[in-house]
Amino acid sequence: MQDPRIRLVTTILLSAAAWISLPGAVLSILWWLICGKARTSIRSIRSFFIILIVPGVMGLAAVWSGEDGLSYVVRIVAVLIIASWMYAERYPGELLDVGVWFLGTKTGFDLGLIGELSMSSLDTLARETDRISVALRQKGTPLSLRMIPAVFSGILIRQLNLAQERAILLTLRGYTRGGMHCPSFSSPDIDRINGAFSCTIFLLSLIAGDFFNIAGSTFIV
Amino acid sequence: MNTPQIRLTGVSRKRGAFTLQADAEFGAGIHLLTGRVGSGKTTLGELLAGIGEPDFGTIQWNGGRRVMLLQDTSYHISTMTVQEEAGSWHGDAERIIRTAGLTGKEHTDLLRLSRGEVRRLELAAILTGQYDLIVLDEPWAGLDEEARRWVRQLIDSHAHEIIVIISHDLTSLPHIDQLWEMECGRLKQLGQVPACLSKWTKAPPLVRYLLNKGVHLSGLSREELEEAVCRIPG
Repeated sequence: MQDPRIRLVTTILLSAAAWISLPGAVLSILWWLICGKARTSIRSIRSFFIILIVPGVMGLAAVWSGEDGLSYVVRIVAVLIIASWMYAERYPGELLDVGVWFLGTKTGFDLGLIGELSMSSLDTLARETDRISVALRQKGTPLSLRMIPAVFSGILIRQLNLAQERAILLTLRGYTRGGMHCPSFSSPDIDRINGAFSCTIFLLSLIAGDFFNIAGSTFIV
Repeated sequence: MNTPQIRLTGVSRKRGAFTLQADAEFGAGIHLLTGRVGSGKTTLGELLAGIGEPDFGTIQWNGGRRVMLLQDTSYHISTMTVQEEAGSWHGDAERIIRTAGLTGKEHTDLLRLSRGEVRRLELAAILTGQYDLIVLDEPWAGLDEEARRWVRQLIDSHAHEIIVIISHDLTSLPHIDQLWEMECGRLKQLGQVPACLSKWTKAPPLVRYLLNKGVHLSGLSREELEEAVCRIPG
């Protein structure tokens, strides 16, 4: 999906649809398979299962306490898949584009800039984690719990240094608030069609989730 | 002992608009890889070190395959103190600490060391270890002149392994055997040092100046360059 505006709206709608109801979650996963071409930023099944550890434990706890833990896990999986699809589709600068298009060159620029800096920090973090894992493997030291303070303090210090360097750069370039930016977007028809599908899934999920049934009064029947 | 050798045949790796291409053979000795920022030096170093695979072509190893890649930050650190960190390299911890010049700081928290001291500890652990290929990506970053000299001496004692130095800083080099240049993603072997220096079209200003002055260069190490400067006529 090339248009980041449609992608952002689609992500919000599908995440909400997945969270509201189980059918919404299943439809969101189907949307990802068909319209999203099953693109994901999760690079291996192993990583996917590692990500699922915490929701899995929460799901088990829910089942143990008599709640519908399976539904919780499926909905979380759908939300994670949609988030990973969005991350895989993004290109540098799109948050700034969308921010300025939506909220202008002051607030929009600032929010877009914050978003871009955060995303690039996530990229750096992912790259560093890769490098650390390779470095430890070459060193012949298997990853263990005892290493966590040393490894994480290194990551934290490098992230703080990076933030400081960026702050200095922005200051040197005269940044105080807002800035000039002229976003341009490419919106092919297929993006609009896929976006429309996500709206439909959101509405279906609202209905399936009994969202309009408040205090015994049905708003849509 | 089996002499290590790496052969890259038709290796290419594409990332967006950038394509790295390499056909080369790295034997035992000290190799210098130079080139502009973004020309693909680090990518090649990572391929040699086994981080990622080429899209096409093969990388063949002859001899052992113990690899170590040192990049510009402390990715290897896995403990909190100097003593623990030296011990975590599975070598002679005392020798590592002594080589790094950190005797007396064994129980110091690594966070309290300067960047240069941490760098020295890592380099000492790597260069006192048993590896067939060592890739040093900008090894002099963050080091003062005394520490640079210490690194040069340490590297000079490793002629039986393959050491690939990736660096922009050509004023602190140890004795170099082979010179390589990366140009827009294409690896070029310039040849044996010092024979290749006269045809090094993109030599750094100091080397170019010396060559233009007609001074014969016996190598690229700091000491060899200093000696060449002393021989400038007039």
